[in-house]
Amino acid sequence: MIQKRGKAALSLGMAATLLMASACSSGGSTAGSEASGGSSGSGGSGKAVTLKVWVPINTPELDAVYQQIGDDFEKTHDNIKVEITTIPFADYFQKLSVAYAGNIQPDVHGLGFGQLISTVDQGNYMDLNSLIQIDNWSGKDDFYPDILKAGEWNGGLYGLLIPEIRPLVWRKDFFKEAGLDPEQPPQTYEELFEFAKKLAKKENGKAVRSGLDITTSTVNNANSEQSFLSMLLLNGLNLYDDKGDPTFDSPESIQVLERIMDLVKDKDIVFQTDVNVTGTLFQNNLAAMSFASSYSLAQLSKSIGAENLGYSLPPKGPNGKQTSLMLGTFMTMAKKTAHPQEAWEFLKFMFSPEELLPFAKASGYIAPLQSLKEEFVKLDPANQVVFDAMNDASSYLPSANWSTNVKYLRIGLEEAYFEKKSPEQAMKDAAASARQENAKK
Amino acid sequence: MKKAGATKSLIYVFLIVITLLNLVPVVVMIFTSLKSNDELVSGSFSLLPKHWMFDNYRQAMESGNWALYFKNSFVVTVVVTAGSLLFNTLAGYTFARIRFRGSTMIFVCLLAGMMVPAQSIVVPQFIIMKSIPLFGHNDIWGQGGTGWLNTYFALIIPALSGSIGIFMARQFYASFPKDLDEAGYMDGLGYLGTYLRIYLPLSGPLMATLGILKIVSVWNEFFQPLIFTNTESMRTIQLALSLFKGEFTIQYNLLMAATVLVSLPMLAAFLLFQKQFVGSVVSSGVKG
Amino acid sequence: MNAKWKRTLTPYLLILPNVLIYFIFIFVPLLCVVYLSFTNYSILSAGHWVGLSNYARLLEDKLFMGAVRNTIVFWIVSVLPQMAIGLVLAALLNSKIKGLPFFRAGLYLPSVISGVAVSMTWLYLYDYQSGPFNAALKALHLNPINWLGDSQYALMSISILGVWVGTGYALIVYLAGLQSISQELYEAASIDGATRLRSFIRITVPLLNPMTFFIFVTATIRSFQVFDYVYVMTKGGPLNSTNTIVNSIVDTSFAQYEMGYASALSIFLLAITLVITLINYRVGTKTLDS
Repeated sequence: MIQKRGKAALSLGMAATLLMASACSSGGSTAGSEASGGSSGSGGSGKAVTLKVWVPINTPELDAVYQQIGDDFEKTHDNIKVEITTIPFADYFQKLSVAYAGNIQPDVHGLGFGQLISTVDQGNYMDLNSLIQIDNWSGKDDFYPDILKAGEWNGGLYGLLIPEIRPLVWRKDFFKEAGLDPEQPPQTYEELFEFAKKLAKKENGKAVRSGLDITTSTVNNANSEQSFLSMLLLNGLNLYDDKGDPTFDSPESIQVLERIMDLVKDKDIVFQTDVNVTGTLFQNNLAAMSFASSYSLAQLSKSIGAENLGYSLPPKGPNGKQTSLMLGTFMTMAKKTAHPQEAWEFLKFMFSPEELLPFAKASGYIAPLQSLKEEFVKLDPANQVVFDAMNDASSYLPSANWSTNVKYLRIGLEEAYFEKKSPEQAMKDAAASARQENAKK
Repeated sequence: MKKAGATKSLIYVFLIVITLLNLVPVVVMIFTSLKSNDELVSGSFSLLPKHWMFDNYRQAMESGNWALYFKNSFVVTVVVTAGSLLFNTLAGYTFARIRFRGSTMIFVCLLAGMMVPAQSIVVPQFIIMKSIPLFGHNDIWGQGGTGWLNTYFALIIPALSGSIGIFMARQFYASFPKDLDEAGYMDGLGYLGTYLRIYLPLSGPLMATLGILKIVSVWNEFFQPLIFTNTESMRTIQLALSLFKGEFTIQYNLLMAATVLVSLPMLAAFLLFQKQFVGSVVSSGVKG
Repeated sequence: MNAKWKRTLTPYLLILPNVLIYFIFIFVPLLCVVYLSFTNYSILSAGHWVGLSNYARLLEDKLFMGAVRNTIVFWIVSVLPQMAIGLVLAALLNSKIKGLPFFRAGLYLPSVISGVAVSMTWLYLYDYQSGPFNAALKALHLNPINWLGDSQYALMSISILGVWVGTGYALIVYLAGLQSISQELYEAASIDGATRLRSFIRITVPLLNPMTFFIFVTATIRSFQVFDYVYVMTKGGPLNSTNTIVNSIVDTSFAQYEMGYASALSIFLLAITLVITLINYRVGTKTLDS
């Protein structure tokens, strides 16, 4: 009897171990031998191949726009079927990473800017350079170099960016209201702050309109590190160095934060936590100037009229820098895809001028191709600025430490803006915590 | 007598006030669903809509193949509820009324499963789901295909076991008088027979409560369908609801309109089940 | 012998369907999480064994410990009112009143709406500038409160929402319990001349012990896993005042890509809730037996 019970327990334990071994082990092993790629059929040999494509979208209307690319592609490629799945940004990475862990990742997929540059070192994405070389792909030279560079890491190219460039944008109606020339944006860093003070609107000692759109708390899809980074870039600074070590606690960076704090203390900035809005202050009529992409302002432009929005390159920083922040969505290939050639065909197709132009028009994105500049400027003269900005655009540097650094920077910024700590103390503490955690990873 | 009447009125006033307060958010939700876009972006809040946009409901339902999403959610909810009610109450009865070796141990293990969030166990769950042999083009070793992923199985089977359901049934049956088991034993019934003949007929309130809890939780489940399904053909209503939420803008009115419609079947189910609450049952079950 | 075997085996067979599914889809993944908590597995690449270092790190993680503190506050502030209000309402509803279906449905309605939709509605209610709550405060000549934007109030505001949603749950479970209490007991009590309040405390409350234990344990488990409201309304802010354990776990797994460490956080969460449950279990079984 005891023996029998022992046997039962033993077999139960064995079943558990077996199941566990299979469930735990296949998780995300980068050296997986067989690439299922979630697609059926083998490449070549005339058999139809199904490509799985996943893209994150930030507005539901984008679904149809992406589906169109799939339809167009299938029309010109008889043997390849494309299954495009669009997923809201908020849920996207969870779904994608679990699919990677289960080894059934899509063949081609989008990635947020930060997501790519912080996970590229894990070896899951295909280096596109070899495919480009074999093909002698002419599209490469058509790309704006700074935009192409965004997807580079360690000599490889891991994603093609659909960029979201953030030059200066201002509200002409608010400029008039403040007695400023609506056609004259600030030209220098000093002027930027001067204007920001003039443009701020206060009621009962509280800001009801920001002069400059500074995100003070990360809530409802407004991220505090982004407006801060825009300001750093004008000073030739970044959040961390190429080794991923935080630099936002450098004396120069702290100085930038202190300048912003002048605005905060002067009640020139609306606090994100005082208003229940989705997105940035500027998107919600609560700021007069911002570093923002035309793409993110489509809704605003519709409601207030495009004639009330002005675009220009950012004001010259103290050292003459006019770098714009660049974010966006990368299109990436899974390294383990069973159909690299077909996947590459799709990427090439998507980024060809013929396909990118209607896509960009329909989605509101700007195509990062030099050959399309004229077309876009014709479409809207304001696009001239965006294309000019692509000549000098920068963003997060590739680093696995991105997520930790940003996490603690957000805390530090909030502590500074809410005056819980001095800017210096807040940045030093945040950087120290980030360093400590980076070391433990 | 007067005093009793006063107490009664006081109870009524209290209940009415509490119930109405409780319904304020629901009312706000309904009115929001009837507002126009312009009114929502204007920023000023008023309870009643300026223009009653009943058209929002039509628009919300035309935003996708909602008939399909309702069907998916309906199928999953019905099967899960029926199956889990049977399994859970049976297990709950066993834990409550039968002494057997390891019962406490097994029971605690069952509870432990509720104590980590779904997000924590999702990766191994996903891999197991993908590796079910002979399903979704898998071979006998569970390799090569997608198993139960993107099928009803993925949404139904795991939900059939419910720790909460077992727990509640156990607590419910624990308060039954001991005479019931003896009555069953006298009648020569086995464990299963005792459950079916004696306990099940007395389980009205339990079934009603458990049923409504399970229906609501399955109907409102978001995370599992998000991770385990991919195609529109498998989309459930909660996934569809999440699509109204963009990164820069939320279509509050359409979202709320759809939410109201999605919640209606839950209200209907509640009203349907609550008939079961009526009447004290246990006392009538025990003779003498 | 045969009959005896049958009686020994039957209980196991009766729980088998449930336990088998549970074992495959919940318990084995849970064991995996235990295993992963000793590795530095990132969701995108295989990790290796790191021993107890995740647990050592957890104890020094100020951010996470803040989340633990917030979660415990949320638990205490939301669970007890839920149960108390739920019990009182259930007792009132059980006292042969008219309009019972209306009250019951009206009181339970909040619990049938999905967490995300509920959170978005409450975002509205809590709006600092123009929300109805502050409109009411202003009408009473009180200062408006920045419900979600002030780190002093944010956690309390979320707890209020927790009470609103959870009360309906306690209510219907208590109702089910009350329905199964024999009326004869009350009749006996009323012969003794006991007042309603006294019979409620002396007879009803002890008889509801199994339900109280159930509600307490499940409400505890759920409140320790509070996530939806925080995720939709505050993202853990301001100043991390509403950061909760599950918010940390999700962030660590999917934004920080540290599944191994997040697994350790999950096991920590499991341990806390298990201890609370077991303490209750002891107390609960004692009162049951007596």
